Amino acid sequence: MGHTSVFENVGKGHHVTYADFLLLFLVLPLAALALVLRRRLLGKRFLAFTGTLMLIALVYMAPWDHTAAVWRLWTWAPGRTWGARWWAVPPEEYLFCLLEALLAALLTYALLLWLRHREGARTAADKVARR
Amino acid sequence: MTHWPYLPFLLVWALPVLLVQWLVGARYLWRGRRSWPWLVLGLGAYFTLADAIAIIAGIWRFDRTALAGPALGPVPIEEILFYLLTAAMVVQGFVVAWGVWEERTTVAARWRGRLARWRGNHGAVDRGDLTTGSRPRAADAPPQSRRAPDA
Repeated sequence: MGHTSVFENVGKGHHVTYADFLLLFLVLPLAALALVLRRRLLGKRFLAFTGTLMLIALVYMAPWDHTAAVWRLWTWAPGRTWGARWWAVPPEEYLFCLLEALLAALLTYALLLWLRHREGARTAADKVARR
Repeated sequence: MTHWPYLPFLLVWALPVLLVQWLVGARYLWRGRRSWPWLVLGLGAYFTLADAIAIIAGIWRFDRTALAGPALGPVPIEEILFYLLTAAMVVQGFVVAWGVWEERTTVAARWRGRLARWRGNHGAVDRGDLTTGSRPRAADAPPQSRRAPDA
């Protein structure tokens, strides 16, 4: 990468791009979560649910975000996005939508697995206690 | 240009989805009421913090005339709500889908029962289906999902 670190840029309050934001707040935590969950990410049910939710999120968000952008409810500063616009929305925004949905789905999956694990451990402990 | 303020524009977009999720899967959402809401709150707080940094850094900005006014530091209340509501949409969606899948035999029986009742076919068919299908069989759970997390 040809620019200074994301952290330095945040401190100075300029030059931070939307892509930096995605990297720092979405890609990094997602990578960390993936390292924790590893093989469990290959579960068919998880992949099907998450893929479907991401697709729905994208399709549902796009016209809404486009309308807001046309109304100029929010705007992106020049030079902070890659410059492309799909409808009136930068590609980074679609990525944000997809990655946010992925992060939320991953965390929910981890939560459900953990709850089941805890439930299983309790049932096993009950069996031992009754013996 | 005349347009909607951010707050109603957000609520009209997000609330119907949450409502439908509760209509479809209230039993699963209610059952997990002590777990998944924390995830929604956590994601809301996390993205609010991220948003504050993006706003301070000047990546995006808002039309002040379209905002209600209250803000947490640089983050308008609408943005906090946006992150809470979008997190809720995904988390609830996942919880409902998961719950329906785990109990798909029961769910199928329940809907067969409803359909039978709707057709005016009361009694035996309906109750029979419900009793045979009331407990999901262990064999229905895919082996993958029974693996205990090692974290």
